[in-house]
Amino acid sequence: MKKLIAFIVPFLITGISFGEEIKPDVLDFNSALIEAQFSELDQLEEYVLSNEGITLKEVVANSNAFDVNLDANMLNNFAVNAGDHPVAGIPSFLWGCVLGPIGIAIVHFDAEDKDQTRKAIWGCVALGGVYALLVAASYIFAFSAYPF
Amino acid sequence: MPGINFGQQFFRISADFSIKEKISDGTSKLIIGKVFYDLSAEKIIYDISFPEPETWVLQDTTLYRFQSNELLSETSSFIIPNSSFFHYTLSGQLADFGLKNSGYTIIDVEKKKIRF
Repeated sequence: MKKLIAFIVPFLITGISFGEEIKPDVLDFNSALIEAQFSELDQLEEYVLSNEGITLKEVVANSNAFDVNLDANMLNNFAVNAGDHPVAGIPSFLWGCVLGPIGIAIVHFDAEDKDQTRKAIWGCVALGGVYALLVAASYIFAFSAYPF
Repeated sequence: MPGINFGQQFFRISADFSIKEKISDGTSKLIIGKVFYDLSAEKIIYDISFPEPETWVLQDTTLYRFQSNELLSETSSFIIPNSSFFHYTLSGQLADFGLKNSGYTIIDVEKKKIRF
């Protein structure tokens, strides 16, 4: 798995690099502007570092002191960004929905992530549901068109 | 023999970190903690103190999240410890970020000047 990722990542990076012409102003880095935009977060960082062990709830209770709109689920969102990567970038639901049990097996062995496997299983269940509906609809049509 | 004097190899690193993010929806993120890396174990450990005390362990392609020594979640990750900044720092591969050992051959190097 590690070798596969190490092989694919350079392709993704070069794809991003050459996929679109970089506008000249993108490379203009105005450090003063960025530092100004992060000044409130810098103050908050100093406050947190000088009050060891303080949590987000306690900071929110003193939120009048800081002009910062903090994301309440920042750790969860950050972890999802770091971890939620389906096989080959294709949603696990689609793997299960299109390939059925084979798709579930691919997701299970490649992603090694229970959540992704669960999504693939739901995709397979959705496929089964659609198939059952189509079969039921065809029987209803057949019986209505050719009644005994 | 200076070569022999430089024989000591470092295999562990720790650092304080602060991650600050501003999102387009107007919210901000601030994550503060300590990070540890062990070259022989190829494991990155994030000891997060803010917003909530949590420990993240990144090993192989899996991210484990712990809170009060209880496993919260286990997800796969694209961040691989032996392709991390910490690994390249300790293994002396920072100059080319491990490209020499990635299976590719460097044919040409081009430098572009970026305005700061």
